[in-house]
Amino acid sequence: MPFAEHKMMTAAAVALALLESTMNANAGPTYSREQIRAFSLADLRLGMTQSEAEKVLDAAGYEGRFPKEVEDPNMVKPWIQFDRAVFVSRYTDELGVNRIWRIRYGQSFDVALSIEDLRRRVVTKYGAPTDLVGRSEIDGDTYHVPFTTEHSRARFCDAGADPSCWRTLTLGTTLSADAVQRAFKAEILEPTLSVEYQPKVLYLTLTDHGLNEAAKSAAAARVKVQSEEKSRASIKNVKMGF
Amino acid sequence: MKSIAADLLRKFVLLSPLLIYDGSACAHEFTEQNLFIAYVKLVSPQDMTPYNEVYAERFAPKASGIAGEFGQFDQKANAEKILSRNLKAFDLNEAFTVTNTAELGRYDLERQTFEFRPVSAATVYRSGAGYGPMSRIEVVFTNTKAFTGLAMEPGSARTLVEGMPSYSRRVAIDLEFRATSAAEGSDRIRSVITRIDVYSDESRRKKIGGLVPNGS
Repeated sequence: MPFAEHKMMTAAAVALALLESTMNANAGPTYSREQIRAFSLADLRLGMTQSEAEKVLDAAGYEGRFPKEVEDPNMVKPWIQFDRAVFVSRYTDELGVNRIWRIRYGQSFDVALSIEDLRRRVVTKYGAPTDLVGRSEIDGDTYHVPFTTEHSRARFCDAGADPSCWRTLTLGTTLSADAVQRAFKAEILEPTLSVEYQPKVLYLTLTDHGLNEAAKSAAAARVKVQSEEKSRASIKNVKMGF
Repeated sequence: MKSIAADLLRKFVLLSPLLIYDGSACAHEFTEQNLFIAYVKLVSPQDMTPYNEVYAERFAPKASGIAGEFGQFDQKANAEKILSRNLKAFDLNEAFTVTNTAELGRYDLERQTFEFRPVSAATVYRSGAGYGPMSRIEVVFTNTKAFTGLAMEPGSARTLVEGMPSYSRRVAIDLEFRATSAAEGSDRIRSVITRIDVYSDESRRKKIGGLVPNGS
């Protein structure tokens, strides 16, 4: 290994070790994709249709409405009650039905509550988290499927431009850097539940990027097929001059 | 002569908070002091010290200028008694009334109703804009969803809209609510809206409708 590359890998490993030391990750039980998709949040579930979700939110006393068009996930308007809000991100399935791929629930409290008490309430409903992440001001847990690589470190590599970073994740394994990268890209599409604890605010987010990405891929494939069919149809009418 | 008038004035100032809370059936006015008293009553604190201090500082009658440092001593001594009496006399079942304005939306001829949303789940009324402890008590409403739409006959609706400027359909509202709960340290009162009266004029002579919770 050239010296310069070795130096870069060492620097990346040191940065990752520092990152890890601040995150205190503890591996707990993992969950299957089906188990996480079966979680309910504010009585909503991943994959639920928009009209079902509307009924649930309306019956629960939330104020809000879904815009006609599926909006950008960053532009989602919440359904609200005086102390809580639900942000619902939608995708359109192959039949043109709008469904849910992300539910973010936030609740504020009048007075600061014990994070341990809040965590106990969450664990009673969903079980023990897979990762327990403790930071100085915000605590957060995640529930996810088994990962083949350490995601907090992989995210660091994914966000950076240094390709040698991925190689640091292969240390102690028989995997190649490419395999680790591919596994990470596939695993981040799996459904997850994440919980952020603050003394006066609690956020729970149930996400299934896979549902949204699959719908987007299917839509793109449909557009491609339509475009090819159109192209084939139009070529029939073209008179060739050769 | 001057000292007798000053003495009478001082007595009136000291007594006036007791006169306000005489248990009458009037709705509570939305004032900093009323909100503070409602908050303390809802919280029912074990230790009244911080509440007495805030009351003495902000709401108890000020005697300074009339009797100088002796008046200030009286003021502190009296504040606790006055707050205690006011708390006893304050009826939480009595509604508060807050005045505001709201915008009427489009008139739906089929449903014979104006789109109207004078309050939402995000609505917060604050008792003041200060920075001291309990100087911004927030009032939030737990039943805003029930208050939407303003029913009106098409003829009246047309007359109303034609009498309004083209750029605005602003109406005056009197929102009546009852304080229901508060957690100590939150500076927030949870409330239920009991009715909203709607007027076409700011002087509130022309009532054009009222909204009450569904089913009542």
